[in-house]
Amino acid sequence: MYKILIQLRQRQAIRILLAGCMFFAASCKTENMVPVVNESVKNIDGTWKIASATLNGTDILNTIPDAMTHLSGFGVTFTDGKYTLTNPIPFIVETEGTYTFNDPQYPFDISFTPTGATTAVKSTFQFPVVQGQRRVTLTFSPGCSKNIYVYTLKKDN
Amino acid sequence: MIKYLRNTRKKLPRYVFLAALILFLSNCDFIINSITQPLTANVGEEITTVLDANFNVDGGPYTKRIVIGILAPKSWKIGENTKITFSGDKGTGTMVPIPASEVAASAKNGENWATRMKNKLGIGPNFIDDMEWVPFQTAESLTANINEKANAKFQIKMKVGIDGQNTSVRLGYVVCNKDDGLADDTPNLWPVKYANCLEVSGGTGDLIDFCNPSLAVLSPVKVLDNDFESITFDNTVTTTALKDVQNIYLCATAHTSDGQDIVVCAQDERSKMRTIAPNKFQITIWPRGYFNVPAGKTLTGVDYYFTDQGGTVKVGFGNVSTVPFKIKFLCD
Repeated sequence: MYKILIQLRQRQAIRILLAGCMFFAASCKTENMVPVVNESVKNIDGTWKIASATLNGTDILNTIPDAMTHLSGFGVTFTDGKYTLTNPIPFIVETEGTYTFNDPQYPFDISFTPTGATTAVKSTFQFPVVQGQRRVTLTFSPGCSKNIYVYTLKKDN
Repeated sequence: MIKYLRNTRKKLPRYVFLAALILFLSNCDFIINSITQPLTANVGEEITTVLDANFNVDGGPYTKRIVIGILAPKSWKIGENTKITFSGDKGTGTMVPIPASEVAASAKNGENWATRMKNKLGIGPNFIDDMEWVPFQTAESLTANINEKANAKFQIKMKVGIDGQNTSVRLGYVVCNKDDGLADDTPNLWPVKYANCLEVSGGTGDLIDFCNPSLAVLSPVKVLDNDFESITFDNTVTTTALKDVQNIYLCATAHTSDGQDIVVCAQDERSKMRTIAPNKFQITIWPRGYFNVPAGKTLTGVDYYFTDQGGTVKVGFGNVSTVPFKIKFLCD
């Protein structure tokens, strides 16, 4: 009888010890376990070409001959806060200049300022990954505000 | 095997009965009995349309809001110029616009009610895609009792032609409930009807004719010189001087804001229109590039004809060779 009591007490002691360990483990500060990584500054340097284009929701890249739209020849090159255009088409801006993000780490829009202009023109900016490659999606209206263009650009290798 | 067949034969009436029951139970439907709308109006006038609809439910009771969509030219801004009231078996009430931020029931890509209606119904029997569906809902939910067949008359008062332009158009009406919307598999719950052609007169400028096919169609309808513009020549509308001609070219003159003309009228690869359907031809241009407009200058408009390869046979506005079609670079 005495033996049984001792065994029970031992088991109880082990249980209390285990519970104590769990409390101790749970009290660890979880944020220390998450590695501290700074969100990278979005780098879009390079030349970008059109991968898809819509006007008012309708595909204009594959349904209209390129000889009429000249979309495939268009390119925009970003270098150190500046941009240049090749073979212009309806776009946010018509001439080269500088660009800025609203936030370099978490950009939601991009502003283009043509050289000599005093005001910037803004477009929404999306930076999705498609087939392992970054794409840049810009939404803008170069003419009437009800005509919405969405260009998705891919990097020209 | 024989036993199995016998069993199936015994069960067959039961299956048939069940199938009939399911059909009967899902036999809810909404019907637009009639649309009463004037045939003529003056620009800016308020017209009254009466839409008579039946709401037949099986099972229930159901408590839902009723939605009405109206198809009208964008420039009429029907959403701001319309008042809808209803009366009938469910009493009387008013309807209010559905905010653009609300996602439509049964929308596939999170589109709002106006977009859902446009995607599903297009512009109906009209010919110019410069129209919008404007959604309204009952201010409160209405309850249909078990197997009720309720009738309601919707009185739609709207100002037409507030843009001051002479227009003929077939307005469209769709009725549905707020929970099911325009679901693909239940077209019986969203009847749609188009009124006869409404002629709005007393305004300025050429008639904008949504009701009849025209020789030249622009898309988008409203553009500036920095937009892409598609021009379609429909050579099936009537007999033209270019009948049976398969190589069609655009002959165009652009006007700059400082009074200069830029002509692009050579019959070459640049001005050649592509065939998009038998005897339908289309060209897409970016006016600033097509007319090589110098930086700093803007275009106010373009006059154009369709020609044959020789450039001698021309078709212009009203199917004559002396009056050009016109594009005015204006937004709203």
